Amino acid sequence: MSEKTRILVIDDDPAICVSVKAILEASGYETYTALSGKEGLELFRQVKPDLVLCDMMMEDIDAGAKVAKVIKEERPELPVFLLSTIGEATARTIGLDELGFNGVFQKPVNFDLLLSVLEKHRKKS
Amino acid sequence: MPESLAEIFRRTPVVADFFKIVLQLEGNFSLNPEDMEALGQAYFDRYPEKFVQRNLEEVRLGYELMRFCLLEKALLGLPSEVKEFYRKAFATPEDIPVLIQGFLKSSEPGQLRTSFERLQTALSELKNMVGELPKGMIKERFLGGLSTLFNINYLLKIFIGRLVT
Repeated sequence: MSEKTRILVIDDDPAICVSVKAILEASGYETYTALSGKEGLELFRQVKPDLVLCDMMMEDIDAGAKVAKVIKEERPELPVFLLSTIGEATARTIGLDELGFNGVFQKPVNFDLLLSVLEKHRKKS
Repeated sequence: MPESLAEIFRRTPVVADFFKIVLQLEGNFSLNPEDMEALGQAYFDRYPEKFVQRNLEEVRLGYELMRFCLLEKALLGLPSEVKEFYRKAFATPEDIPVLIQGFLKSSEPGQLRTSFERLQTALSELKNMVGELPKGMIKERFLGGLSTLFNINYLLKIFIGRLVT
């Protein structure tokens, strides 16, 4: 039996972390959560996730971008997606790839879409 | 004229008291975009936003405050035992499978499905109203609160789908 795909969720709202974790685990992913960028980077090094979902505004207004930058320096191939309330128009203009993100999911997240993207990154058995 | 959520918030320095008062209203309060802005402003007057080294406890309180009010409004008109089921489901999403099993001991699956459809409609209407708020931190807090509700709503959909169909 193959190892489950590991997802790291970083968001300052515990309710978001708990609810996203519940959905991802119900969908067969091994999920880890962190409540700040600092805690997220510690967990990133510890659990070696296959994909990261990260909020932008946490302990600092741009904490998510700082996290994505460090992750891309250490593991450039790792997909990192932004979970954000910034709005689609803003997302198009801020240069997500330059900030280290592979894409953005607007809150409230469309989980049919998110799970279809995650499926492409699921470890094959 | 009934007291607005913003007025209740401003006169209750202890947030737990605000939650108790709002709970007793059973969703019978106004929550249009103007009410959302007024409540958001009352929250930010008490807990001003910072952009570096933010106070995460205050930020989280903001999400909780908005989430609580949105959920109570979305549950308006549902029978009390159904409301109680959803309040528990949204408070402890990891317990949803057990809560559904417990609910179905005394209620029909059809009641669960019908109430869930009503809840989805109410949440969609509230989402549209939050969408009307001007860009800014008040909207951010409401979107944060709403996001959790939609996440748990999705989880309920998964488990109700598995049990009822």
